[in-house]
Amino acid sequence: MSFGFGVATVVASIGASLIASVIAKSFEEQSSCISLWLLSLALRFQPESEHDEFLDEALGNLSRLEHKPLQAIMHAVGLVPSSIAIRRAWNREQATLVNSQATSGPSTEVYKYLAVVGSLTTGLIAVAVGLSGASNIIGLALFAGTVVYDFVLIGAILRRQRQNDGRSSTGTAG
Amino acid sequence: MERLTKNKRRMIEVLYRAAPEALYGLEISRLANIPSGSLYPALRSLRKAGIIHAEWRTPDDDPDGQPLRFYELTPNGFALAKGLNEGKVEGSAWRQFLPAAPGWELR
Repeated sequence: MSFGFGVATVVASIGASLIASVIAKSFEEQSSCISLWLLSLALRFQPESEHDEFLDEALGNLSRLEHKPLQAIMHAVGLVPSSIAIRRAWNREQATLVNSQATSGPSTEVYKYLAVVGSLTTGLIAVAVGLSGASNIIGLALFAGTVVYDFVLIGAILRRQRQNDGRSSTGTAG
Repeated sequence: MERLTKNKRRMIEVLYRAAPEALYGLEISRLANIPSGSLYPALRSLRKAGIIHAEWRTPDDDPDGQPLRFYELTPNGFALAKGLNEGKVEGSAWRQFLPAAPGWELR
């Protein structure tokens, strides 16, 4: 496996996530796809305990921008650094909690680093694998894993969106 | 440790001016001129510190739309905003407005 293949894998993993936007007919649909992809990317950095609230809030705000594609994308772009900042704050809280309870456990730094590496891990590993001259199969497996993960996340977001739509149409939101 | 940054001050000011009406995230972002990259962490921080309160509801102008999270100042937040607005809160005097929130402090 060559270095070029590794780089291509990184590019492809991003590109594959945006294929839907190419298929989309209008710019509004494309922006919607890009926003969802960015939201799925942001979710990877979020503390899991706050996924639901963040997801609902971001979807709500994005829905207000559905007829303003550029603004929607700009807002969605900001979700990624937002998520990283929230994860860092969450890590600090956990550290405080652990210290105040004087209990032993894994360092929250571990989670912090895991979060920072986040979705880029796959691509970087693919480059490393490429540099090491390992088999293309590994790179392909990583690539496939990323794409599947993307689809699972986007699927979860769409499910939530449908649930929210159903909830608001029956007037039970709140 | 959390800080009472300029962004957070602007958000408090916007919510103070809007009161008693609650605002959702995007409105706060526009009115306070804060990008989405800073919006959500700041909202979370202010909520955790007990300065703002959040409530989910469907917007009046779009009853069939997605539920939005509306924010408004808590009584403590309102007192802090009033003090800031009147220039009566300087230095670290704002600390007195914070409710007890273990592990959270604005500095």
